[in-house]
Amino acid sequence: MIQSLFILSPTGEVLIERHFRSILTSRTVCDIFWSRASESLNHHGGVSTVGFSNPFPLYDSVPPVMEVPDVNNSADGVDESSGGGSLYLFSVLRDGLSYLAACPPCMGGAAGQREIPPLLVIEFLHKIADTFVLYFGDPADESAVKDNFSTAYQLLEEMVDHGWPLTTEPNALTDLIRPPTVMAKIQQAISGGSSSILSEALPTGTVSNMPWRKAGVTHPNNEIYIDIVEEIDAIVSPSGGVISSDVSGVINAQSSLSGVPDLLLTFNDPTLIDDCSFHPCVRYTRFEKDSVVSFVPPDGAFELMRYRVRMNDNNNSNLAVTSMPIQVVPRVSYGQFFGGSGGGGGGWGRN
Amino acid sequence: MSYPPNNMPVPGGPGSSMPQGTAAPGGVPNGGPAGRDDSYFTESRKGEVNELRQLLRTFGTERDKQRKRDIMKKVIAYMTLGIDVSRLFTEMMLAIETRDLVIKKMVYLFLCNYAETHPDLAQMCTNTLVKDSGSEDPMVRGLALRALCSLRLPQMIEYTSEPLRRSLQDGHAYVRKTGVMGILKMYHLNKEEFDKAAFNDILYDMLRDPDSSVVTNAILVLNEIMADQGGMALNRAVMLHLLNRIHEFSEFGILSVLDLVPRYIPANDEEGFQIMNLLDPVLRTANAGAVVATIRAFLSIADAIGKRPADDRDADSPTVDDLKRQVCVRIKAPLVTLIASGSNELTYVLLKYADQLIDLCPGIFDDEYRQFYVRYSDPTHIKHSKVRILAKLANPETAPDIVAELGEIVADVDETMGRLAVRSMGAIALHDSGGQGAVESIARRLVEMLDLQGIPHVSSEAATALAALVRRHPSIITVVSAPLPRALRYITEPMGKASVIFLLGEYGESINEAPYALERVIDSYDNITDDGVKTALLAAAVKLFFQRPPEMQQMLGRLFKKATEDVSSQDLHDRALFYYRLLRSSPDPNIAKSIITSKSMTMSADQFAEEDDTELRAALMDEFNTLCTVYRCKAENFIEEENIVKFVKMPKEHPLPREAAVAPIADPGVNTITDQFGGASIAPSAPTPVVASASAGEVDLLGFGDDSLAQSAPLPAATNSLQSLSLKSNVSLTGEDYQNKWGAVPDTEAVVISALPMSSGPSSTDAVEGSLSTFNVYTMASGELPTEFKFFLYGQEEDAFGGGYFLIQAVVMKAPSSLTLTIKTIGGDVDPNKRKEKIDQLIELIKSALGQYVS
Repeated sequence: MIQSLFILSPTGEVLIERHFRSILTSRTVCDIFWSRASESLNHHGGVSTVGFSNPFPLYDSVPPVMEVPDVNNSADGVDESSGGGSLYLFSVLRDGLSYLAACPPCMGGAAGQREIPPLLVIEFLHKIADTFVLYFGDPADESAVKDNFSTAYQLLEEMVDHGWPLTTEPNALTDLIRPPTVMAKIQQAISGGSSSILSEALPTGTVSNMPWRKAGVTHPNNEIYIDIVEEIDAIVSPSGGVISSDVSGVINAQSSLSGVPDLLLTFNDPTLIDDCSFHPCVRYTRFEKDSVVSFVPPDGAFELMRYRVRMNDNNNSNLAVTSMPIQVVPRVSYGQFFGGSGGGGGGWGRN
Repeated sequence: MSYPPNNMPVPGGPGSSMPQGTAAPGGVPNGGPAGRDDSYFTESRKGEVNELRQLLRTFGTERDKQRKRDIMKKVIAYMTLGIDVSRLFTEMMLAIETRDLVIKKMVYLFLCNYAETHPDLAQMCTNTLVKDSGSEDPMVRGLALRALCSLRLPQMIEYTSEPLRRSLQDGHAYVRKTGVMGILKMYHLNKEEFDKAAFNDILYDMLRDPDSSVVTNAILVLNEIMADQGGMALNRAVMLHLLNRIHEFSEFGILSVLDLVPRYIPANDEEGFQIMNLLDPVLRTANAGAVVATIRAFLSIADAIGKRPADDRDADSPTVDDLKRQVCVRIKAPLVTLIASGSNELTYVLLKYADQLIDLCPGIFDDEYRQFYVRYSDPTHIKHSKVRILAKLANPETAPDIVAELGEIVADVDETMGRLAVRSMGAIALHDSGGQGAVESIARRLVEMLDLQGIPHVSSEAATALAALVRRHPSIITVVSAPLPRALRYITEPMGKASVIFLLGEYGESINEAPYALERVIDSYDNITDDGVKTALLAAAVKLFFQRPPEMQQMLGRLFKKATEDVSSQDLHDRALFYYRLLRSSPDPNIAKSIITSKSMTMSADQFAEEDDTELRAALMDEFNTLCTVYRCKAENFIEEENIVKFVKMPKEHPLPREAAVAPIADPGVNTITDQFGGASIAPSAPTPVVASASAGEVDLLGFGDDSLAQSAPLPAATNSLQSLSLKSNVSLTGEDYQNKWGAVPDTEAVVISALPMSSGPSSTDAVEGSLSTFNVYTMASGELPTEFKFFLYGQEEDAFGGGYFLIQAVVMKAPSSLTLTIKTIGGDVDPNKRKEKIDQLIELIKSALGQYVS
């Protein structure tokens, strides 16, 4: 389980700190993390220098899991469980913020705490970041968290209980804590009422078989938007031919449909899809049988599925791609003068 | 009570941890628009806390809610900055009496933070908390309960146990799940009190709570409380009950269930495969944690099935290796998708797992090798992992591509990357996985690298790889020998130097310049700092002496003089003496020759002895999906012994007689488990016995070890010793009675469950009535309308349970199919909690009776 959670700003300052167990993890773990992160070539203050266009700055030499000494042992007299001597610090970098989770390696015996699968922690940290984006807008960076830190604390309170993930479905969370929308802010300003941040009702999903969808949704306009984002990873030979290429795609949806809508998404040629993973709302057996995506969507934005297409596979020879949608031609020219423009016509150059 | 001096930072406060201050530097591109309101975080000035206190004093009279909240926010902001605001405790506690939930939450947060340091003050607000935990609003109940349990004051136990117990019966799942976690907090606070309270049985009961998040928490809590025994007790009934509901769990909740699977031994092969089928859809979720946990569950089931003793298995039962290979083939695609599309952090961990799976089933990822190509945008640690894995993916088909790709990486700016790429190339040749001619072509590439003078680390690594390669494939020395003497001149790194010297000594016979190359090194002996190089030099010179005595004799003498006088290394010194005495004292030089030049160097196996880590790999496989995989070492190497979690498989409570084993898991095709609540794959007549036995399994949660239930498939009502609901059979009611009773209960008291989704509508009313009557729920009247079916149903409790009547109005919409229940109770228990519980059970009963329609 997660013992403590820290969120660091791009300058290494602790923005949010939360301890879920009776153990107060010392902030020195953040210092250790930060000094290690700052050593890295590409990590100057949490921001990549590799290229500003890269939306995901890299922690270079900082692996997502690191061992740090637990300096807490003597600080807290009543605590007999932190004898392990070291903590495992999981880190995730999103929008310049470092999300750190400190977990004890595993503490069986008297303390009875158990080791946590590393992927759970990393997935969960991403989930927190996702939720922040949902609540505070994109990007959920330092200023967004600072502006909304009390909401952030409320969210953490609901998402984690005693170090274990609790409520993580965005639909259930928005029932508990209403996102600070523009409308809500205006409403609040006019009425001064307190209800704008917190809904009075609790999620009713106890009997529902759809934990991801809240009950009784109504929208004046029933619409759903689907975005398909594809990323091509290709190796191009010097002559411009494609040696290998892969497509990983994500289908994002933004649903505002009333009631319990049952949707069906069909593909022109489903055989193209090599492998895919779905949001929990998708009926898997239906896909296996008919290759259609049948689902009852959650309300709001969500990621419906991810898929992968191998483009020039031997089995799919009709798909073999000979040219990329865009072509970048490097042109190198040597000359007497420094700084002449070597690029042009869609390519970039270097002198 | 003495307060700390003004503004004293708590340990680890701002003084130590925020040297950079709070102002965001202007140059940060992600810092967002400048000039945003950072007022909550501005540096504290002296007296700020006093100012806050003044503000809080006016709190009671303040009318404006927003202002009130702002004051609170300020306090919390200070608290999170690490400034000690505990002096405001008294003032804050006055604010706890509020109807504003936001303020309440903030006060609770404050309270939990400082309760430990101010126990007597915290005790004063216990009453408010206990009162709040009985509030009408379930949200307030839950929050108060959580705060109450998080106070961490041992003297408070007596106040907490009662609200806790109450919360477990609460009608709202939010309160129940908070309560379950509260039990764990109590356990850590005071174990004696906890034992007295005997919550364990209740927790096991909670495993069949209708809300999946309550179940998740119950599993987590039980696991932690019973960590001594390796986690919660598990039997077939519990396991199957949880697995049958697995689709209801949230993406993180599902992990807690999947974690249990490796500890369970399936009753027979059939059941093992059924569990796998049931878990198969989890592989399609986007949560990497769940996918990997599923893989672990699969592997453990494969173990359990494959390692059955011989007399307990069919002749055609698959072996462990077959099964594991099948599992690996099945999980390959999902894993690759996750690796290709996940975030950096996930990819890193997933690569480690993939690495381990390749060891388990060599070859499974071979055809996906392009997914493991290094991308320019990958962070370094991912690049490193990928280069290591690429070597393991080589087979005769893929090797040329992989070696070419590695060749590109060799000259990477990152030194480690270059080294790893050379090593990976060496490994491909060493393991001979590249097919015909690969060894030689790789050797040629490595020889080319030997000459890369500008990149010292690459030439050194290449030399090391070649030395190992020649030991494995002595024939390629013809390719390697030519450049060795010149390589010795410019290779600077000790490892590489030692490798070249080794090769020169071993194969000097066929290399003309070998003695002269060595002579240069011997003459500069004083400049060699590394013991490894010296030792290699000594061994090489002695060996070469027997092959080229006239050329070597002089320099060998010089070397012996230097080496025997050299006391920097004991090993070197002793070896030099040993060689020297051997040569001097042996009567026949041939004896010395046979000792020194004995050719036992050719390796026959695939790997060097020190690479043989089969044992480690087996141990790691047992600890799959833990940190051990990431670190690639056993838990005992980095976790103290008393802290290691015991992994205890539950004893086998079977075997079931093989022929009598009624499938206890509803077949995914028939029940709607995989097909969450829809799909047309529903068999038209789902066999009722299957449904009944599944629900019997659910009922028998505490009857550990009683496996006759699952087979004989009795009606749940008959075995229903644990449920507080038990329906009489053969109840009859007249229409008039029914109407009177219905009318007697006001509609406001009816429990309405609306729009339960159904997978498919029933074809006629008879089908529904029939299956309900097996469960002692009878039909008064029913009818079919164009868009819906309507049923008026009733049932009566056994007298021993209160004898109350349940009247149910059920409406089944045809398209889209959904079920709405309106339930009224007459007579029976007066206690609303009990009533609620019974109604919950009734709903479950109806759901299981209509198992073929309801999802």
